[in-house]
Amino acid sequence: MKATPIIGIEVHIELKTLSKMFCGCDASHFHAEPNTHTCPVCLGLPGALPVPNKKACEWCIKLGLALGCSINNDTFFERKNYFYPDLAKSYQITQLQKPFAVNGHLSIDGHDIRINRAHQEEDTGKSIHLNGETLLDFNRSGVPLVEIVSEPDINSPEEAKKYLIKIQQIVRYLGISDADIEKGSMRCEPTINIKIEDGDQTFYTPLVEIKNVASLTGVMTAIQFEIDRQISQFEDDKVVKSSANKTTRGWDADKQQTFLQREKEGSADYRYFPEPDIPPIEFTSEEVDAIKSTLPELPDQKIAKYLGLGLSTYDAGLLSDDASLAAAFEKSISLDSSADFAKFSANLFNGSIRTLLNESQEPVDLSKINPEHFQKLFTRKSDLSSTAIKQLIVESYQNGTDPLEFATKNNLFQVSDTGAIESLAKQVLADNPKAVEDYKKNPMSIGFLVGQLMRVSKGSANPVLAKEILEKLLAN
Amino acid sequence: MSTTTITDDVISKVAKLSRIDIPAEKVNQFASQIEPILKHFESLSKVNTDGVVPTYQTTGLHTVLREDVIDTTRMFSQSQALSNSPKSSNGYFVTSATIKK
Amino acid sequence: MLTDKSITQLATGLRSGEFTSIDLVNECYDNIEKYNSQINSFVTIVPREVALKQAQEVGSKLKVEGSSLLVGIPYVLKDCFNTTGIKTTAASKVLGNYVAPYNATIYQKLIEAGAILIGKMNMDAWGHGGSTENTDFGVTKNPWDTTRVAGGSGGGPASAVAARMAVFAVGEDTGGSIRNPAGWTNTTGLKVTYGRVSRYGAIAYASSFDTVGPVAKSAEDCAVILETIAGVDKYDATSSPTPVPKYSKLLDKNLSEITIGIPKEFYGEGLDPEIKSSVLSVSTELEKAGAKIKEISMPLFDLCLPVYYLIAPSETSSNLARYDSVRYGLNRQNFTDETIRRILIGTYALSAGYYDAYYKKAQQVRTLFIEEYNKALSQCDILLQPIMPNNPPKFGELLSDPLQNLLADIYTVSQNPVGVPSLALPCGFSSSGLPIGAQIVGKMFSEELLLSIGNEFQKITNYHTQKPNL
Repeated sequence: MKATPIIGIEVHIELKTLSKMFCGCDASHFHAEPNTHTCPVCLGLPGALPVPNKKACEWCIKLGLALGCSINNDTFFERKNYFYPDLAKSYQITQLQKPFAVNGHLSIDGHDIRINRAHQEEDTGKSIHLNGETLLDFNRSGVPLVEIVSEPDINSPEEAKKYLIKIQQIVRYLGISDADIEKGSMRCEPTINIKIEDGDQTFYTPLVEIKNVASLTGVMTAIQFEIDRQISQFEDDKVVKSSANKTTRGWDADKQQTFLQREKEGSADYRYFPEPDIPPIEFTSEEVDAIKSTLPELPDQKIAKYLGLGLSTYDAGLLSDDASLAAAFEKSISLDSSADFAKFSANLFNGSIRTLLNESQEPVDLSKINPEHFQKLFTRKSDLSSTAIKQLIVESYQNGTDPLEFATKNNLFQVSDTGAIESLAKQVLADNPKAVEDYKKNPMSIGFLVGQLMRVSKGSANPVLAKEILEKLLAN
Repeated sequence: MSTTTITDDVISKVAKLSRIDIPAEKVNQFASQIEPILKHFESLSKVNTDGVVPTYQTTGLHTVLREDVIDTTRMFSQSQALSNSPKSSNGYFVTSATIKK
Repeated sequence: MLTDKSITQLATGLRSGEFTSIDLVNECYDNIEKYNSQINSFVTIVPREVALKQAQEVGSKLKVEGSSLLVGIPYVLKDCFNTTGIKTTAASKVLGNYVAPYNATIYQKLIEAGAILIGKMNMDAWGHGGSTENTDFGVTKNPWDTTRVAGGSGGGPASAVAARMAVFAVGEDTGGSIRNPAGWTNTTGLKVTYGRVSRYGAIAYASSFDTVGPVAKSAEDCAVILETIAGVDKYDATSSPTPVPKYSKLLDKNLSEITIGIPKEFYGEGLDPEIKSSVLSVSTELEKAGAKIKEISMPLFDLCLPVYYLIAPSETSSNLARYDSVRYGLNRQNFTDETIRRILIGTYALSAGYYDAYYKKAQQVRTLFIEEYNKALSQCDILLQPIMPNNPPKFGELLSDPLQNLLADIYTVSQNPVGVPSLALPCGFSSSGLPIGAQIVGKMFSEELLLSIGNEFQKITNYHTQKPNL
């Protein structure tokens, strides 16, 4: 029996606009006192009316473009009607028939995941269930969301995670959302079923939508759990997918399992109809092109560029992970595009600079990246130990200090004068006859002699040269 | 146009969708009142609407959008927001428990 | 009576010192004390002291150059507008003791204009009805015959103006709610072009039909009120940026420039003969003054009923869903039967499997109505139509048969889906002394034309000056 998972994911991205989707309330809500960012519109008071946020619409289109979607020039909002206490109007204003963006795709390790749509909608308030009651906070009610729906092209938990990471990266690159899964500014709902091939028969298990996954690891674990559960359930009851048996299961992170939440009222009749309070929306091709021109270089494009510079896939991936770090890297090599220099700088970014930033918990400050300093360091790199280079770049970033001046002042330059090293080497060999004997038996023990030479040179000898010269002398 | 009879069952289902509890004894009353009304509307089905685009708005307006600025003049204080709530506590609206979505 | 004067006359008198706003406010409240218990126009009467205090402060406002004609004028609002500090009920128990924390845009405009609000008025709850009987606050009686309905859904505002309990009112018209009671109480009411006046803060019935408009003793008064409340509103995306003319300065019309269209289908079977003759007499009067008459055909005619009664309940079923007693109000079980019926019809028309046949179909026929009105109005400047097929019935007659109740709206439910404006004018009385009204309908944003023709008509007739014998 062969079992192939079929996974589609719905992602909701909370946009970080200043104001809400349909009113001018402050859209920030994390840690705000409950019900302090509301108005007649987002509180659903009688007589209130929605007016759409232009920037939110532009950002939805921008995200659609970044996902390779076609943009519908003419769209309109619709009402999705259902009752829930945190849905103030008892309908959500969303897009159904005409989303802003359709038919996009994302490539994950060469596998194309099709994106059905990216549309605009509004968020609900927050419910807290406590002691048999529900507490409601409408600060989040009306915050703009973009919903991205993939086709069921994803075929493993790992691929699902990569898909989500990529979306997260793109969204952060665009600067339209923090896309933080733990904080709820990015939410993921996978829908899974399994294709089971048994001999010459093929079966599909019923669809299951998983809610309440609050981390990337959680997504992977939940999907894997569900895959295993569905296979075993099918072996039990042989029930196949139908239009009426889609269910919703919640992910319990404590118990590490999914549990049945409710039958997907696939029969939940939302009675969608076009929103009469909001005139239809037109973005002309020129306006869409203008938005397209504001797209930054996206992660995949950066990776390709870095590979072109001669960086490894690993280095390229690491550098492009964060838009501001990538920008800093590019600034650092702006005076020289040779592969060696790129590799040199990449190592610094992926090493000591990243460590520094992690320690300080601060994002990289582009103004502190001095391309001349990087270049100078590169030209004298053979005269400096790797430790010294790391120290110098940190000095340059934190204090703007010229690395060569600092190296000179602090005696960091290594001696590469072969004559000088040779005389020290002869000294060391003379002083360490036993080590010389050891070397003759075991050439790998050269390290001790190199260390001695470094010591007598007070660390200033170029260790590579030191070793070469010692070996040459010992060979005689 | 559908010629579904408006049965009590239909009324019950629609009432549920509308979150209105209709007492059993009234379900039939509504069914018998609504049925002739919907039957009367079947005259619409005789109108040829092939290729006719539905009108959802008569304004003729489009792309009415607002700039992304915070409008403090309309924002409520917490007490204003809660001022009409039947039940509130510590700044929250309170309602009896609901199923997790 | 001061309250018999027009707004312009009152504005002049207030400024000349002939009388004060205090006098005017007191007269209104005296009339309220005398008549409201018989008529029941009010849901909430603003306390007299509160109104008098505002009247006292009017003096300085009157002196301001270019101050609004509405300074110091007492008025009432249909109880569907959000007003801070004063309860808003939509005439339904479901809103409980809701006191709005914000003002409807038109209320804000009237405050700024210096008008004095003295009451929130009875109506058919949520706009659902044509007789102000579907209310949780007792029926409103017709001042002309208190055994009969005043009309609806704005029976409260219209009856208050008729009985001189207020100088003017602002109401909402979704399918006749201003025009129907205007016709039955001998007052003048204007259903504006959709989008002419902001709906922000007006409790929604059918979002794509709802209009906010004036009810007063004359077209001239309506013009003064309209120029104050009309205009685009950044809080209402459906409000029109079309500039607002100074309607009160544009009330003269050379009637020989006008062609009046008489759509024959509106004068067929089912229309009371006295009403028919009164309504048609409007064209005769205007013709004497030079207007031309043209018979035209509007064959879609009674299909307006399913168009209206599928779309409006659909939109209302969604608009009323927010009343879940969490953030305000009481339980949904408190909706009246009439409201429940409309919610059920609307939910059904939108539901899966029925959407195309009902809601979508109705919106398609709506498009055909727009085309029909455009065609009709290309052949003439205004259309003359009756408002109601019968005189105001006795209580309970309309409510007893929901289908008949609905059919009675036949003349007033085509204009809202199309969006065109219509002015309701008194045009006669039945042999039993009951008021008869007519409506003149124009193209989108033709309020200036309608009001000027209405004004000319009211110069040559005096139906609108008649008062009920209370």
